[in-house]
Amino acid sequence: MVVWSELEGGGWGQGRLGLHSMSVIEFQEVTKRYGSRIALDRMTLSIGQGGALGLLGPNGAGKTTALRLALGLAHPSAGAVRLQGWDPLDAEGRRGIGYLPERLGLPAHMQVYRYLGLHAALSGLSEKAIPEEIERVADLTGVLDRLEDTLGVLSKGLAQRVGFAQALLGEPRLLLLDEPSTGLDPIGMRQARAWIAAARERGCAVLISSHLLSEVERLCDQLVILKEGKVAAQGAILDLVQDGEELEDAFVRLIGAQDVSGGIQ
Amino acid sequence: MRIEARPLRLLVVYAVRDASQRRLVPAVLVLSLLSLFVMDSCSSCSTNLVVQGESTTMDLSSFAGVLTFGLLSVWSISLAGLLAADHLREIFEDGSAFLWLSRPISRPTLALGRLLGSLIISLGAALILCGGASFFLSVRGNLPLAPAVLATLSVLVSCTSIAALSMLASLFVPRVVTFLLVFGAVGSIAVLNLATVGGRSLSGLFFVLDRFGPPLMTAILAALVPWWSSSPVVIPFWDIVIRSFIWFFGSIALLLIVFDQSELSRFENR
Repeated sequence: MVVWSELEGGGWGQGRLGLHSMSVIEFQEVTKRYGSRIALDRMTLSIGQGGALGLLGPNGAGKTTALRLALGLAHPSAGAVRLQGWDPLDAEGRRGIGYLPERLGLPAHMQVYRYLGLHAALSGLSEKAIPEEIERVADLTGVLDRLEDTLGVLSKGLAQRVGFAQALLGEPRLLLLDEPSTGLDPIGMRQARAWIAAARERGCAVLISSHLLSEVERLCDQLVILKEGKVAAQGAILDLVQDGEELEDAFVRLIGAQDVSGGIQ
Repeated sequence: MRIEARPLRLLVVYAVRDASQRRLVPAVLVLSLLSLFVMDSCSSCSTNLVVQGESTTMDLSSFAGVLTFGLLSVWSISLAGLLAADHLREIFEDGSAFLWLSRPISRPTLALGRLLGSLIISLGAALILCGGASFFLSVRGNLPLAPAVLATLSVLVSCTSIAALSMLASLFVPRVVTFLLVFGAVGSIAVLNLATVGGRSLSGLFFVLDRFGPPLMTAILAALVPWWSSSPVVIPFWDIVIRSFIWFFGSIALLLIVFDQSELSRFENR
């Protein structure tokens, strides 16, 4: 059982609110309603250092809502979210977070170098450390020779690599990835998995929202399967997949899909 | 509510650079300079009239001066509102706001950064327009410069209030509606202010707008009294100063507080 305790600061929502566990991110019975529609219903999850959790579910299941709640972009209707012990609305909680949204919104006229520089500075890196850090992430993600290009001329795959580069700036403690494979070719997808694995090795926690079961299976050790905002299943992948089953079979079984044949015999 | 200095500076620079690269700044600058050229020509006009062979010099400079300054001020204030209407909204439309806010920066810092970014452009345009008008009218019309400086200052304050309110409205209503609100509010308040200073008494909503709304035109007319009246005109100076500053700080605070407390995902994809 999770017990909330106040470590410092004035009260709920102000200052750091820690947990007895070493969670980097934690959802405690979180519900999110938009009017009468329940987008997320009493979701509880926690990821510790180096852990990786995949959010799976059909469209509209509540995956993106969960990521928005994690970043404080949406407010929980009930329950609590804690980011490194802080309320996500508090900017301090977002220090050391790398976020890759599904829709990057890259400014087309901006140079890759300037873009990464701006994000590095906003992350809190010192002016002195920024050039070296840009070179490191650009080299890692394969955009080192495109630093002088403007973002508008990049292909979808390269833009996604730049997205990864900005998320990996400053060696984050937590990576929040929304459909990270978008636009990447098979080689890019494989490389992306290597970047994520390397981040995990140095203790970075990872929360991935994806449609791609194979991707989540390879990257994560924990799963939360959402269906219409409700947690349909949750736990270690090995526990969720039964003997003789692939993850896809388990997914279909767990979300209770009645007909997935699409009429094809 | 916390504002972080370094991220604020970065966001302001980014906002201005972004607007420049989208050719917004050059467009506003060219328009402002073109207006100055027009003003240069107009203020060079001779006011000598020949009626039935007799030459008469008409003293149009004071009336024309107030009219020119007033029109340029209303345009500058409207421009500030129009530019601000897009500046915060666009980063939600393209999704980049969510990425900015995943960084350790507070929401008020982001909103203030966008507001200041748009204000640097619109206040620059207002300074060119009102400053240029003051210069030409002062040199060619022999009008004192000090009232124009005071009036320009009041235009800058009004630009800021309207920009903050427009940015706030842009989060909740479609772009076209925000534009119409800016034109409607600035235009109607200016006309009501003008009517009151001209001695008309207002009632109902018109009275409330004129008496308690931002003193857009009243402040300008009050500052320019030496241009248009040789006899003392009763315009409550301190009332205007206090109202201007309440609207100035109130509109910025309202924007930051509402943005800080809002459900941001509601602004996406509208």
